[in-house]
Amino acid sequence: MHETADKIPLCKGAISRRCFLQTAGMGAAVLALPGASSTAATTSSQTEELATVLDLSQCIGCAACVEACREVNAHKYPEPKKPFPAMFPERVKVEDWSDRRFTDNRLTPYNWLYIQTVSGEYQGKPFELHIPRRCLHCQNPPCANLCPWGSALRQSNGIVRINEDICLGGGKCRDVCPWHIPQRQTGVGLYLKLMPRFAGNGVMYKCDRCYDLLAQGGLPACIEVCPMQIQSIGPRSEMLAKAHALAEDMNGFVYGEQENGGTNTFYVSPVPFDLLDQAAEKGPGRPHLAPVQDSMAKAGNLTWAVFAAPLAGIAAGLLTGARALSREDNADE
Amino acid sequence: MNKKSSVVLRWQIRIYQLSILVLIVSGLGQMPLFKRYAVSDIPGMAWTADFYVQHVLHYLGASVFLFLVLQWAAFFPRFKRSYSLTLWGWLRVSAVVLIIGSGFFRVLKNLPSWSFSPEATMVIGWSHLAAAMLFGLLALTAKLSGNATYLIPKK
Repeated sequence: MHETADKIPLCKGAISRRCFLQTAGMGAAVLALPGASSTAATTSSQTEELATVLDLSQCIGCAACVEACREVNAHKYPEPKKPFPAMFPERVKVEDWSDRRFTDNRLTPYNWLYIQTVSGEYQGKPFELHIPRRCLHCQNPPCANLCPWGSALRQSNGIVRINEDICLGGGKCRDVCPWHIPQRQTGVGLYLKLMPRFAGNGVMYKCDRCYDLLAQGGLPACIEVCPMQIQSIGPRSEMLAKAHALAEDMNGFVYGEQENGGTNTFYVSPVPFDLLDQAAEKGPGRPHLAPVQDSMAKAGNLTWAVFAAPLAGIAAGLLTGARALSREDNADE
Repeated sequence: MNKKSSVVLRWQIRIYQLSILVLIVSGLGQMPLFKRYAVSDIPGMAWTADFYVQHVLHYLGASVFLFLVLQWAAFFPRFKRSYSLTLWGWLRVSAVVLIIGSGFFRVLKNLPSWSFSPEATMVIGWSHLAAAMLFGLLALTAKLSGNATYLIPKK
C-alpha cells in the first residue's frame, strides 16, 4: 500500500476495529500534512466518504448503543437557561427536553439514537426487528445545503453535523430533512445573544457520528459498544458492497443507498422496508422508512444555470459592445 | 444611468430590478421567518414557507441577476472613455462583487463533491448575508439621498 496525500490506504473487505483504527490514524496523519489542511475544501476524489452498514437481522434491541451514545456525547448536550425568553409572536413554541433527558423511545436533543422496534408478518412468518435510528448522513444533505446560517455542514468524510456554537435553532434543517431528524432545545445557543424574542429558538441537535472520536482515530460509540457487532464503518464503496453481499445472503433489502439521492447509512433487513415502514410507529422524533426522492435534485439541476449565466452575460456584453463599435465605424464612414 | 436608452436598455433595467426583488424575497425566505410571522398563512402565500421553492427561486433570480450584471460589466469598457462611475455607483458595484463572490462559494458549498470546514461554512453563509444587507443599505441610502445614478458623462 502506498501512502499519499490523495489516497489513504484502506482496509479491504470486512472492517475490523484494528484495521479501521489504522486507516483512521493514517487519514489523520495525511490531514496534518502541509497543504492538506482540514480547513481546505476537498473534493470527493481525495477522500472517500465514510459509511456504515447495519445488519438488522442481528440487532437484539439491547440499546447498548443508545446508552453509549448518551455517555460519549453527554458533554455536547444542551444546558438551557431558564426561564426562556418570551417568544414573539406567541405562536412560536418553545421546545424543552431538559426535564425529559432520559426519554429514549424517540429522537430528542438528549437522545440522538433510539431503537425503533417493528413487528409484523412477512411471507407467513412473524418477525420482530430492532432498528437503530439516527441521522443517515446524506451525501447531498438538504439540512447542510439549505441552512442559511452556515451552522449545518457536511464534512469531507461524509459526516453531516450541526455547529452548536452558531446554530440559532430556527429548525429549517428539521423541516427540510426527509426524516425530520434534528431536534431542538430552546434556551441555549447564540440566539440568546442576538434577538431572542424575534429570531431563533435554541439549537438543533442530532447524531454527529462521533466526529471528534473519529478525528482521534476512534470509532463512533454505537459501533464500538455493540455486543452483536451489527454495524460496520468504512469507505462508502466498500460498505455498499458489504450491504449488497449481506442482502444477497439473507435474501434481504437495503435502505439508504438510493434514498434522498444516497446516504452514508445502509440498513440491511430480511423484511422489505415498505412493510417495516407500514408497521413502524412514526411521528415527531420517530422517522419513517419510506422511499425518499432526491430532495436537492431540482436545485442541483439549476446549478449549471447559476454557473453558466455570468459566462453568457459576458459573451452577450462583448457581442453588444462589438456591434455598437461596428455601427459607429459605419456611421463615421 | 444617463442615456439609459443607449447605454443600458430600459427593459433590461426592469428585469434587473425584478431579479433583485426575487432575490430579496427568496433570500429572506431562506430563513424560517415567513412561517414564524404568519406570512405563509395568508391565502396564496403558502409557498413562502416552502424552503425548496425558495431555494429554486433564489437560483433562478441569481441566474438572471448574474447574466445582466456580467453583461454590463463586459459592456462597460466600451463607454469608459465617455462615462465614469459615481462614488455611490462604485460603492454599490463593490457590494455586488461581494454578493457574487460569496454567492459563488455558497453554490459551490451546496455541491455534494465539495466540503468546507465549519469555520469556512460559517464565513460563507454570513458574508453572503452581510454583503446582501450592505447592498440593500447602500441602494436605499443612494435612492433617498438622490444619488441613485451609477454613470455620469465625463466632462
